[in-house]
Amino acid sequence: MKPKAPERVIIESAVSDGALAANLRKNLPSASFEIVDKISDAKTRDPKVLEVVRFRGKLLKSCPGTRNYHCCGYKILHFGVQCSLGCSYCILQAYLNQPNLRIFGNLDEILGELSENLARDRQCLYRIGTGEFSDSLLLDPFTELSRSLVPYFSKAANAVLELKTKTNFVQNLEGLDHGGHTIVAWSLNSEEIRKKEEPFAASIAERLEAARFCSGRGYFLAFHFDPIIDYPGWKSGYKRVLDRLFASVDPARIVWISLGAFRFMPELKEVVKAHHPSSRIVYGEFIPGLDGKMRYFRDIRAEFYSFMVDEIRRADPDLCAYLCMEDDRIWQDSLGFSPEERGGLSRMLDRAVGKRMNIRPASRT
Amino acid sequence: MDLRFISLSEIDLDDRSFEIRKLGSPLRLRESLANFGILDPPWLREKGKGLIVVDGFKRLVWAKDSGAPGTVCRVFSEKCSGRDLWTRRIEKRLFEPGIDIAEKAQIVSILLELFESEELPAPVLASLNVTNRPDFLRRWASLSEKGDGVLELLSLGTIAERAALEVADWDERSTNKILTILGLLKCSASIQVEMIERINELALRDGKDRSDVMEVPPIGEILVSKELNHRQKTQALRNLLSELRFPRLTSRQKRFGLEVQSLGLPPQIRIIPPPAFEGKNWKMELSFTATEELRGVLVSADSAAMSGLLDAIMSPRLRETKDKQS
Repeated sequence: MKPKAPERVIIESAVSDGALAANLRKNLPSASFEIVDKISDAKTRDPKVLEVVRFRGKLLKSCPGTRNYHCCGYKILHFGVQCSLGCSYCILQAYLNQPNLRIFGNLDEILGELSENLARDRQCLYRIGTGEFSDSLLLDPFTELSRSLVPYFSKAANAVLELKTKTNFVQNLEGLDHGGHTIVAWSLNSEEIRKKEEPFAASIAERLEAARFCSGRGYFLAFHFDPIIDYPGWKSGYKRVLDRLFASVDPARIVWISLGAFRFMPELKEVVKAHHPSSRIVYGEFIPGLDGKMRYFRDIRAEFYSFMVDEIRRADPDLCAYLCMEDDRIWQDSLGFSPEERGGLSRMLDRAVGKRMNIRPASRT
Repeated sequence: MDLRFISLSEIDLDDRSFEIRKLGSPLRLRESLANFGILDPPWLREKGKGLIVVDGFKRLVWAKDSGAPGTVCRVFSEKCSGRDLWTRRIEKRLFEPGIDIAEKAQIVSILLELFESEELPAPVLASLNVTNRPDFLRRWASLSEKGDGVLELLSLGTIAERAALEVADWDERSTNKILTILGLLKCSASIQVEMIERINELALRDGKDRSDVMEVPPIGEILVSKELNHRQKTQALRNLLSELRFPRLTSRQKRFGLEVQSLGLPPQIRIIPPPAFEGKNWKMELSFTATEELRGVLVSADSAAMSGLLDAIMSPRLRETKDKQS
């Protein structure tokens, strides 16, 4: 997979002198650059455009959990929105008010806010990721954001950074002082789903090769089977990917594997039908979930998870496998326990960080 | 434009450039014409040396068939543009009663030909109660392109407007099939939409033609059943489509029914799972007519709760484990 360079970069004047803008100028020599006072929301998407704005909101957000389903307690470092990978199931397609790729150019403020947050509770372990509203590494060849974030986190005693991607753009991670505080994570799917639903993302082979590259440079790894999608032959499809995963990297380097069955806001259905007419993913057995999202009927989810967990445990019984946004009964039915029995999902993941990465906040050492 | 007596021989009745096909029965119009003659002058437009019909095709054909030499018509000059004439023609139609779905579809299609999307006359769309959104307008236009058979069924009101728009992009065979089914069932608009959505999604999910989905034997059996009336047929078809669309959920619901039955609870106790078994809010509904009856019902409810059998029903995994153990 090759990085797709934006052809036109529009930068707000407030961030035009920042490090991020400088990196873009250096790495995008063929692009045109335009400085404007304020970028207004575009009405239609222009895939050639990259917008660089000064973000004025809260840069560190909590993962949007709901009271009915267990949330991982992850924090999102909001560095940009949108993604050009165009996966059929992606909720970002429904973000119609900001259709263009957009990143936040006020990196100093981002890191400043992060420092304030981390200092506020030194006994808390912060698991922070950047891959919620965009792909963590999609624009990294141009922004070099990882070159700022990874060294920053190496010095953050009570935090780990998770870079979540579907690309193989890991070259910038080479030679960085990560201090064992960065997890490089890949979203994985079966080869059939990868080809049909995420055709512009890196192939599974490329993702696993990139994971090997990172593991070889001392990075910890994580994998997210999310969204798991129901189709005839899903078991063999997902098993093949799990087999390839465990043949590619040492399971001991994997901090966690998350599992999440495909779920979507109802409005996404029309978007998928309109933009991906050949996709069949929205025609599964979906029912309205307690959070308003459409979810596979629970027995289907439980079957997915039981199967995946059994396969993961076969490869490494100690590897932390967890479910993203599921209730107690599904946990019980598929993993045999509920998060509460182990102190809650957040604590489970904190323990995985302690065990695999040897990082524990001050009070818990 | 002027009003004058026109000899029928001057009018080219075969030129249908300005026709909005009205496919319903013209019986009432014929009655009126027979009793009162032409009350509202037809509209004509000059074309070369002759005249073509803009509005009043049926009236003029009636006049010809009745042997009338001519009639008073409103005549527009050839200089009057097609767009202007159509706009007037549509405006006139809006103030007449009973525009059916087929006519609406034709009018929207004509408007889309005459106007750029930003110029579309909002008052006309509002009068037609048509949403001014490109996808909706496109669907209306697709409906207008259906064959006469389909348009006739649309005119007859066999299908509700919302449902008609859902089938706008369907092929002719599938459209005919669903209209035949809906004509037979005579169900509400929301049920029509539900059934159309199920059929559509089954076809898309399984990579089949929609007509193939509707031609499976169980559907045919429901439709030709002599034991079921149209309401029962509607319910049976809804159940069948739901089962085909959600096979595992339906199977769980059936299993749940059998399992609850096996508990041997008295009829005054109902166990209600969460909708689609999602979440943990299960309900037990007790009904009674006297406190003594309630005491008996409570004993039964308590023994069901204590037996552990309810746990097995609530958690299928636990049930499977228990099955294996036994």
